[in-house]
Amino acid sequence: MNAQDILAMVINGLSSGLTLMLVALGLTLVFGILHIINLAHGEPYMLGAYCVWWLSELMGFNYWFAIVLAMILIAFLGVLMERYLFRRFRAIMVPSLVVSIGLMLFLQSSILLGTGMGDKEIEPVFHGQVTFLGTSLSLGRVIIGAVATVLVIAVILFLKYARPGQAIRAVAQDAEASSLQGISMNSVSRLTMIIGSALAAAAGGLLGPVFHLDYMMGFPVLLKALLAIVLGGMGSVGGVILGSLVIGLVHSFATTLIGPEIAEIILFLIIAFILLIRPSGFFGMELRT
Amino acid sequence: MNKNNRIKSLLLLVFTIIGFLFPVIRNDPYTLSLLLIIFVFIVAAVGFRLIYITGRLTIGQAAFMGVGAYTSALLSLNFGINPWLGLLIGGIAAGILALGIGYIVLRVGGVYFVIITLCLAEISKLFWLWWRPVTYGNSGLIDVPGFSIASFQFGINKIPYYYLSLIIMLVALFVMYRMERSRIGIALHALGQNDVLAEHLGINRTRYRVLAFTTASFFCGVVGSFYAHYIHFVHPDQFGVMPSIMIQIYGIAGGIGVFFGPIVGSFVVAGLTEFLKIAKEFQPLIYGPLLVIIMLFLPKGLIGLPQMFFKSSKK
Repeated sequence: MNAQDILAMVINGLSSGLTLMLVALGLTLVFGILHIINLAHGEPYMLGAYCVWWLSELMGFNYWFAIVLAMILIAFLGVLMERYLFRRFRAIMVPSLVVSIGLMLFLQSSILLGTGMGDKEIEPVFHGQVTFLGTSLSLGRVIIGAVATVLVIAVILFLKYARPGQAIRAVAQDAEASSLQGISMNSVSRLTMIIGSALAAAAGGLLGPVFHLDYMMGFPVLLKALLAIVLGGMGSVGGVILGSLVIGLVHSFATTLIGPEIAEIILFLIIAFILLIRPSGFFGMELRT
Repeated sequence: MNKNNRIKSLLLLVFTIIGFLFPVIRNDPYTLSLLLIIFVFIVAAVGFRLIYITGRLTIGQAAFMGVGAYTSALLSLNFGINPWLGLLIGGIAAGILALGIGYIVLRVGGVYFVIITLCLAEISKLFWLWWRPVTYGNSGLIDVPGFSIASFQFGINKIPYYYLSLIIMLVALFVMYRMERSRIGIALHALGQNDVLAEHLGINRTRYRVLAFTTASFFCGVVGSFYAHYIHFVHPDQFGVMPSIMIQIYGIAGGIGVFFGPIVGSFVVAGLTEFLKIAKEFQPLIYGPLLVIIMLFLPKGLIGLPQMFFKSSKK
């Protein structure tokens, strides 16, 4: 193995870590605000990919326009889920888990019912390779990573400087005190669901051309996103960024060096171990940027 | 109260007799095989509840079914060990594994425990996929031998398998029921309500939780190995996250608050999907909304339904 292989592994890992971050960020925000582990959070990702497939392959829209439209549509779905389901189960663990599992099953099988079993692919927009430090990388991967980075930075800036973003952080720190300050709990939780769903949909749309579409594609991503937020500390934004990158890198290295199944086993074992010695992760509960 | 108990035990007796006489009344292989699978899942779902009452929600019970199934199937395929013995060994293997894992994992509470058990289910599936030299990975184990008594083979006829699964279920339910009604059960319930207080009263948190976890997993292993010898085929996908979620659905849909809830849940949910004749891929289309509706309107589960009607008619 030479330096180029290592570089390729690093860049693949970073790229998948960045897209994972888009999903994990929403998951951690929803956990920070609603105190719910949303097991249906893989579905906005899956729906995003299907939406982009539908808009760009069947309706003939431009790929990027399709992604933006998909983000808007899925965000609307997120609003509905928050309004009619998650809001009622705020911070109640068992019912909220069960409801999110129910939602997950329903969304998966309704997509299967709606689109059928056949192969679905999104035509890749970018072809060809770029050479970076002597390693050739696929252009598509690099652009996916770049777009994901831009989105993540935008969300972080939003949380840090925009007033609604600051409201999200305030509620995550202390829900009671911030509602005394006049912050509406419901609008904050709606906003987090909008951000979370739209980001996951963007991830699905971006990765759509790389993988085959499959109605079950959301679940493995959800598991990895869970691992990422556990690693970084549930509810911590900084932790999620680090956690996703670590997961992406470890997964990329272990897959190349040892094999795909054992790579996943190693990831899960690491996370189980971390949960045992330090359940709150490396960055604690607080929602920080 | 006493009268209530008497009605309950009378009902139980009637249902048990119906269970034993069913093949005589209706010898229909299709119905029998459906009931047989329901019995298997009842054991797992009641075990799920046994862990739940100590305040821990697990989404990983199918992993222990997998351990039982693979242990027993591999032993009978490679070493010719009798499936009857395999039932026990499969259960014990799952139990020992649960004992070891439980001692570590059950210290973690709340959401973290849910995630760990979710990981556990996924790890177990990946492990069976990965250990190709022994488990043949994705192709699964085929031609797992069935049961036999002396020279009598349990063959295409479903009736012997039906009785075997009925007996396994009754034994498992009896043990878990007695456990919950004993002093141990009181301790388990105490842990679920307030584990700090319970510990101050001298109940060892981890030890009692491990006891519940191990018992439930032991029976999961037994039914898992029964399942393997019944369908003669073992595949990693049978024991991943989805079956664990199914176990949880049966338990919660029926009503997690009472012992008979998961039993009712298994019958109703599995029976409903079978009755509606839905393809396997589309069954979640029913399960999903069912779960949401139960959580929204029937927090006590299906078993709380008659009670609700009773109360509203009283008003």
